[in-house]
Amino acid sequence: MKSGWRVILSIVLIAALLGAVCVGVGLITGGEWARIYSTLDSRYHVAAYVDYVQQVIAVFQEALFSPAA
Amino acid sequence: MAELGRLLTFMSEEDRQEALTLYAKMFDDVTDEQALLQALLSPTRQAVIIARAYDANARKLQARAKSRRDEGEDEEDTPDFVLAILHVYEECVPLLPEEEVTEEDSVMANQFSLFEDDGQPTEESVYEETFVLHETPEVPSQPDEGEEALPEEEAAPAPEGEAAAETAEDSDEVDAFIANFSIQDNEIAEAPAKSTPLVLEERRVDSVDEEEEVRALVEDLLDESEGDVVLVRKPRVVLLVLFVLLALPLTLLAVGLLLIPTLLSLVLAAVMIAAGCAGLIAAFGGFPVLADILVVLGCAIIALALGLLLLWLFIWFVGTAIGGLIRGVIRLGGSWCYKEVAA
Repeated sequence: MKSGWRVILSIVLIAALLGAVCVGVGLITGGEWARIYSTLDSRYHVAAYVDYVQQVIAVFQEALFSPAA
Repeated sequence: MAELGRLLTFMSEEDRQEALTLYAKMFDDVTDEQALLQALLSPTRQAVIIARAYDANARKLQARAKSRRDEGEDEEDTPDFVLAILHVYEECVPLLPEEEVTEEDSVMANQFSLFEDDGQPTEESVYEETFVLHETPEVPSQPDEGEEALPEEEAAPAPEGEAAAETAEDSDEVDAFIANFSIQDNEIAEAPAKSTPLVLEERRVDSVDEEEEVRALVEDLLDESEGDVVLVRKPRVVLLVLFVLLALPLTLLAVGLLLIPTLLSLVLAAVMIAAGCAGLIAAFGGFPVLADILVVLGCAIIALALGLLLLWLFIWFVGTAIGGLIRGVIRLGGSWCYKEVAA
């Protein structure tokens, strides 16, 4: 298990560093979050998923943390 | 003998002393000790012969059974290593009669009676004669008439049948004894091949390598013989019932609690991996700007990395946390509710 942890953490760290470098390079070379979000929304309907998740979280918060009626 | 005793330390003290006593008796019974030494080759060879025939666990069981019965040894309890030593002696003295001792005698009495001088000078002389023949077959036979038949058999194979017949016909008791055990025509035909000195020379092949092998074998046996105490676990029934009654619900509760982060990590891992795969697909298919592709690709790689981490966390929860908890409870119950007693 210890060697497994070591291997997994190494892979995760390397992949995270690579991803961070890609994001940094993309943002430096002209990437924009708004344009990316609009593209993803038109393709995958991201806004609908975001709204759905926000509504679920609100329901859970109301059920768990609101005072009993 | 000292080296042999040192090499036999893998045996129990009783068995070791028994083996050394047999060898000492062997030396006492022969007049030509040098010939016997040459026939035995080396202490390490004898040690490996005994080691191959010695089973420490079986000997312990035999000793326990014997102590419980409090009876004398019978024929079935003869240790294998004793038989091996006797076999060695019989190889050195091919004409040694095995049927000499009656079956009613005890095992140890049987073993020792093969070597003891029971008041028949002719018997000892037979042993001496056979040893002399083994090592130096060309030595002329002694002038004793009663013992002439045997040397002739060994030295000259062709007239052995005649000599054997003569001894069988002899009314002398000693010759009758020799005839009983040594004058068989088919055995006489095979005897010269056994009694030639070449047999001993053939044994002395690669003695150095063999000694190293023997020492390795003895060391292995020493390692195996350590910690061979047989223990039996006996349950403490009351404690066991109480432990089961308490540990079972507590363990189920702990497992249930551990299942929450386990399943949560699984769900998050699935979400992250799905998001990462979707980001990879989108990065190479839906963005016209290279900078946007790089940003989406970077995010997808990070999502996959987190998904992999969460997936490993799920495996760790299942394998180590939950499995370890259950194993720990079982081990705890084993240590609390069972006691180990010698069998």
